[in-house]
Amino acid sequence: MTKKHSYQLFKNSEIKINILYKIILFLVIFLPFTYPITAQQKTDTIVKDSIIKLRQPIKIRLGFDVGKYVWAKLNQSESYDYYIDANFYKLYYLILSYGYEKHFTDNNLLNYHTIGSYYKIGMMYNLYDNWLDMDNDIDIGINYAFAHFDYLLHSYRINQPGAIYIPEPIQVEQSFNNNTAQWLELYTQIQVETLKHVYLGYNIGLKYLINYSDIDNFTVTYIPGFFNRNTYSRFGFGMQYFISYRLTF
Amino acid sequence: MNPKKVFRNFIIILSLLLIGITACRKDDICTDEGTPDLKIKFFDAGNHATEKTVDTLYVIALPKQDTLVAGQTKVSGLSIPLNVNADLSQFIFATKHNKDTLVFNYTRKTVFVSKSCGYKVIFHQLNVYLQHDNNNWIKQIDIIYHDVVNDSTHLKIYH
Repeated sequence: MTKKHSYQLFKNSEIKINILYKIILFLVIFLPFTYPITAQQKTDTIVKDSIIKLRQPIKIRLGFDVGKYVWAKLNQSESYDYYIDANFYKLYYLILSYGYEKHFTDNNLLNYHTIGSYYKIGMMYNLYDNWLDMDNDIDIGINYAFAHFDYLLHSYRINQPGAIYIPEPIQVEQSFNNNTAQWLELYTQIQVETLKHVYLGYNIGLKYLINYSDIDNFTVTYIPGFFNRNTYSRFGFGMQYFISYRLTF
Repeated sequence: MNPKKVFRNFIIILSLLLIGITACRKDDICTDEGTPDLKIKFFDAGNHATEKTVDTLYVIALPKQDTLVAGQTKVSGLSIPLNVNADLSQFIFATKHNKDTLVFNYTRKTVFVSKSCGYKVIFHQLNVYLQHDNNNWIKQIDIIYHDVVNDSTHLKIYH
């Protein structure tokens, strides 16, 4: 029965997948075309001012998600998210991130831990024209993410609307291991160099769940890095507050 | 026209579009089925084919004596939640002057429904016993389905 249900869910979201693919395709095609025109303008001004053209230094930033860490600590959970971004070509950045989460959920029906880690790889593009030697960002980016995680179900309570005999919690301590999920993220981000080589920033992003594991007698609920999965939609929403340190070579 | 500006506008439109797509989704609250109730219909003891309403009905769950139905008039049928903590439920079915006790026993099976609905219980091998006294207002009980898994009528009570 659950299989049939998930099939229907997939069928309903087929239209949404099509729209998303079109948007991503559009973005991928659009990005390379915008760049050369702006690059041309910059070289023009350099020639006019006859300033010696310097080699653009390779910029590598190491970052840490502060918001996630603090929020988890406040909610009896544990989370880390580290990332590295490298300015490999002009205004393009390559991003790799790794995160670990131990998240505790306790609602009326289910009481469980989610333990797992996730990896992201992505591209980012800086839209901001900096003045002089300032180094701030308004970025847009896209990430592919992969998560590997386990559930540990401590107890559950039977769902019975209008119960006369109130269902008692049932202790199980059952684990559902080796689950995976994959999703795409589209985000916009602001980064400001507040101290020398130290950046503060935040981003907001839209996430689209590509797929997730089927679990016998349970389901994918919380996904590390993705947050709660919605039963009726493959979309998610995310926000990050982070601090990063820049290394120069 | 500045291509960067075009690009920026494109991003704004894209964001609005994506917000639009995602705004129209349902909240993650349970809309699937929970644990099914036992559905009962009342029939005429003289003529088993015709439905007959109970003039005034009281239903009380034992042993806590929680009132499920309190003096409802012209009852043609009702659904009662069975006890999911044990394999036994007891109910008093009473008219204005006559109390009958029904004992239900069954086996339970826990089934996972969904993220927002959690686990439900379905019941198998349902059996009903009517405690006999000198003057039962319930004359006969027929079990249509021994498995309580959905919303169909499981029990016919003749009076």
